[in-house]
Amino acid sequence: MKNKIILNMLAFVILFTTTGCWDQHEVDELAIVIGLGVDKVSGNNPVQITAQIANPASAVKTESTTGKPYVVMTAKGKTVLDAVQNFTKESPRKIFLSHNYVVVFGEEMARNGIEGVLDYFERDPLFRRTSWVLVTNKTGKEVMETEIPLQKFPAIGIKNMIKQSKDESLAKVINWEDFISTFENRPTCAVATRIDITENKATKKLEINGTALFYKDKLKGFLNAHESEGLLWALGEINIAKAGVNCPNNNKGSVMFQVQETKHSINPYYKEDKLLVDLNVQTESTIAEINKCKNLNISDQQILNQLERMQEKALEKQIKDSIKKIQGLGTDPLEFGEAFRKKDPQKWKLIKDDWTSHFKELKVNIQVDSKVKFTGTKSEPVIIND
Amino acid sequence: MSRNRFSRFFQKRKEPRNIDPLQVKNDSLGIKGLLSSELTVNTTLFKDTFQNCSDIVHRELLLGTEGVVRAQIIWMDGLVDKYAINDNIVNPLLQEYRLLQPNDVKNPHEIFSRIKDNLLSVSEIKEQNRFEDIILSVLSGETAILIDGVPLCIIASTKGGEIRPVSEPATESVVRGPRQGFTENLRTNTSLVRRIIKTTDLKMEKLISGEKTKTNIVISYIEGVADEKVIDEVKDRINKIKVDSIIESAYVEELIEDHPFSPFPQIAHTERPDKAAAELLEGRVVIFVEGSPFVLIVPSVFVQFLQSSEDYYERYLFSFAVRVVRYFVFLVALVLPSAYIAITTYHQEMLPTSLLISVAGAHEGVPFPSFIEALMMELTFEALREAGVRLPKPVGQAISIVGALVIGEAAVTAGIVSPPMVIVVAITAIASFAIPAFNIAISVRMLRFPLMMIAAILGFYGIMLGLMAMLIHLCSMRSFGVPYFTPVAPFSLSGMKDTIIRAPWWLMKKRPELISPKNKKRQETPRPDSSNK
Repeated sequence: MKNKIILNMLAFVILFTTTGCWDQHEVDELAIVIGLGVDKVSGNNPVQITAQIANPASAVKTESTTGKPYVVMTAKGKTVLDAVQNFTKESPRKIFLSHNYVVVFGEEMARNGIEGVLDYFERDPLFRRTSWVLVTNKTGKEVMETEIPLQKFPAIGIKNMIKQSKDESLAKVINWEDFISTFENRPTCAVATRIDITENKATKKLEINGTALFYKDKLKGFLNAHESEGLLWALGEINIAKAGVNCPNNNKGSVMFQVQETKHSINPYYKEDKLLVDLNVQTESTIAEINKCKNLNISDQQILNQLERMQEKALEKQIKDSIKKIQGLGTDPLEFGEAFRKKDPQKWKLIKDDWTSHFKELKVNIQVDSKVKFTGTKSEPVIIND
Repeated sequence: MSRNRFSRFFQKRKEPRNIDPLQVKNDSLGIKGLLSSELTVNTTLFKDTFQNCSDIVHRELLLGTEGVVRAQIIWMDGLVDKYAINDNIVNPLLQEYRLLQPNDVKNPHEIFSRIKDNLLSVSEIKEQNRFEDIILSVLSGETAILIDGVPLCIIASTKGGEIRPVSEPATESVVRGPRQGFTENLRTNTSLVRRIIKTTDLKMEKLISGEKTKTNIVISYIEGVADEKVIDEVKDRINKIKVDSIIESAYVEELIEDHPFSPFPQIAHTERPDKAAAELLEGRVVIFVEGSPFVLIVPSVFVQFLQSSEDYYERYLFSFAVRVVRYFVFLVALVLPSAYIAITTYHQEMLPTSLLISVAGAHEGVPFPSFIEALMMELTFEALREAGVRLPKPVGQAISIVGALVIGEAAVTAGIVSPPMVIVVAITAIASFAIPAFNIAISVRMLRFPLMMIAAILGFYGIMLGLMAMLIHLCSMRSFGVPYFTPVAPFSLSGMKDTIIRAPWWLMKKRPELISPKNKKRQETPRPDSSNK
C-alpha cells in the first residue's frame, strides 16, 4: 500500500521532470524576427536570408538611445534551414519566427523559382501564417535595411502599408496562408504584392507599387498600380476605390468618384469552341471632387447620367488594360480557370492541360454598370467667380 | 483499487478524526455525587474543589438572631454581576431573616423553598443537587446558594462581568447595511439573530463541547426550512468532538468539515447577524460558539465565498456588475503570475509584438528566470502582507513604505526584477484582496504557488492541467451532503439566479434547491410595476 503511494508519487515527479522545460526560452534569449528577406545569391550557398530583428533593449529605453531599435542580420546557406542555422553562429539568441510580419522575395529569387524555399517556413510550427508576402524589384536584403519614416520597426511599417493598400484597394495583398494555398492548388494563379525601393539622392523609400504575378513558382511580371487596380476590379476585391473621369463640359478639369458599393460576377461559357467570360461590375459611388469644371450642374440628372456613362467607360478601359497585360503574361491571377472548372468540370478536364494558351486567347466581355448616388455635401463646384 | 488511486489524495472523511478521549472525565469538574444535607460537608468539598482558585468567593451567611440558619453563597468573581448578588440575594436574605428566632426554624426545607420562591429577586432560578452541575453553573457565572440541612442548592442566574459591546464588524464592512457585528458573548449573538427573525421556528439548540473549556455551542436553524438530515449531521459531528478546548469557532470548523485535506474552505463564517439570518432563511444551519464573534454556516458551497452581504443591499444591476468583477478577480488572483510565467517562457507568440518587445526589453539584464523572479516577488509580497497584519499600527506604516520602496522602486532600478513582474504582482495582490471571503482568498494565494511551478515546467498546458485538477476536486467535494459546486455542478437553473448574477428579489422565488429540499418556496411577491394597479 505504502509502496504503491510512493511509486505513484515518483511517477508523478518523473512525469514533470522528464517532459517539462524542453522548449523553455526566456524572452531575453529570443531574437524576435519581425521581417524576413529571401534572396538568391551566386556562389555555393545560394539562399540568403535577411532577418530584421527587434532589439528590445534599445526599443524600450527612450533616453540614451544608442542605435536603431532593430538589427538586420544576414545568413547564407544551401537551403533555408542551412541559412537559419548559420544565424546561430553569429547571433547569441534563438531565431524566433512567431512574430514575423512580412516575407519579401527578391526579384532574382522570384524569377528563378521560389519552390525550394517555401517548405521550411510551411513546416515550421512557429512561423506565422499571417505574414504578408511581397516581391521587390531589388533584393529582400535591401528592403529589410530600408527605414520607414514615423515607424520604429520598418517591417511593422510595411505591414501597416499593406493594410492601407488593402483598405483602399490599391494593390492585391496576400498572406502566407493564402499564398501557399493558391500556389499548391492553382499554380498559375499565384500573386504577391510588389514593394519597390525608390532612391532619391541619399534617401531610400519603400513603396507599395502594384502586384507581382507568378506562373507556377516563377515570377512572370509585374502590374503597375493602375493595372493592379484593374485586377482588383476584375476580382471583385474593391472595398473603396477612386475613379476619375474628365469633365463632361471641358477637357481641362476632372471629376473624381469615391466608389462605395461594388457588385461583381463572372460568368464563363463556351461558344463554338471558344472560351468566353462575361464580367459584370456594378458600382455605386459618390462624387468626391470636382476639379476645374465650370458650370457643371450636378443636380441635373442628365449630367449625372452622363457622368455615370463616363465612369463606366473609364473603368471598362482600366479593367481591359490589365486583363490584356495579364493575358500577355500568361498567368491567371483572375482565377478564370477556377471559374471554368466550377462551370463544367468535365470540359475543364479537356482544356486543363493547355489552359495557358486557352487563357491567352480568351475573350472577356466587360460590362460596367455605374451609379452615382450621392454628390457629397455640396451641389455646385467651388468656383471663384471673376 | 485503481479507481481510488488518484482520489486518495482528496479522500473523503467518513468520521471525525479519532482523537484520544482525554482522561478528564472524572476530575475535570471535581467530585461527583449528590449534595449532603450537612452544610459543613458541602462547604468543605467545594472548598477542596476550588482549592487555589483565587477568584472563587465563598460567602457564609448567618441568618436570624443567633445565626440559626447557616447559608453559603458561592460565586466566581468577575463572571457575575456583583450588584445583582448584593441587592437581589444577600440583601433580601439578611433583611428578611434578621429577626428569625431558633423556634421559628422547624423545617429547613420550608425556609429553602421560601427563599427560592418568595425571596430572591432574581429572574432565573434553578434547583440542583449534583456537585458537578453546581460547579459548572458556578464556573459559568451563576451563583449557588446552599442552606444548612437541605441537600439542595439554589442556582441564581447572575451572569455578568465585562463583555465587549456590540460594534461594527471589522472583517465584513459594507457601505450600506446594518452595522452590528457579533461579539464574544454567546447570548448577545443569539439575540442579535433572534431580533431579525421573529418566529418560534427559529430554534437554538445548545450543546457543550471541550473537556476543559466546556464551551457552549448553539446550533441554530429554522424548523421546516432547514434540512433535518443536515441538522442531525451537525449535531452528530459536534457531539463526536472530543477535545480539550474550543477557543474559537475555527476549532469546530476544523473538527467537523468534510474534507480536512482540501485547500478550500468548506464552512463559511460570518461576523454579521444579518448575514447569519439570511443564511438561516435559506435553510442553512448556523453554529454559534461561545467566545467567538464568528459564527459558522453549514452547508456551504463554493459560490457563497464570492458573495458579500452587500450584494443584496444594493440594486441588483450593480450587484451583478460587482460579482462579474469578483469572479474575474478570483481568476486573476489565481492564474495571473503563472500565466505570465507561461507566456514569457513558452508562449511568446501569444503576446502582441510590441508588448513582447517591451517585456523582452524590460527583462533585459534581469539575472533570474521569470519563474524565480515571480516566486521571489510573490514571497516578498506575502511576507509584507504578513508583517503588515501582525505589527502594531504605527510600525505597520513603516513596513508599507519600505515595501513600496523595496519592491516598487529599488528592485526595478537595481535590475533585479523587471517592471512587468512588479505590475503582475501588484495586480495579483489587489485581486486577492478584492475577494470578499478571507478564507477563500487564502486558498487562492496558496494555490498560486503550485500553479506557478507547474507553469514554469509545462507552460499553459500545465496551468490547464492544474486548473482541471482543481475543478475536478471542487466538483467532487461535499459540504454536509450538499455538492460543493452547486448550483453550477450539479446544475440548478433557479440556483443560478444567485451565483454570478444576482437576480432581483422579486425573481428569487425559490430557496436554494439542495440546501432546503423540502420547503422550496421563499416568496411570492410580484414584480413591482406602476401599471399593476
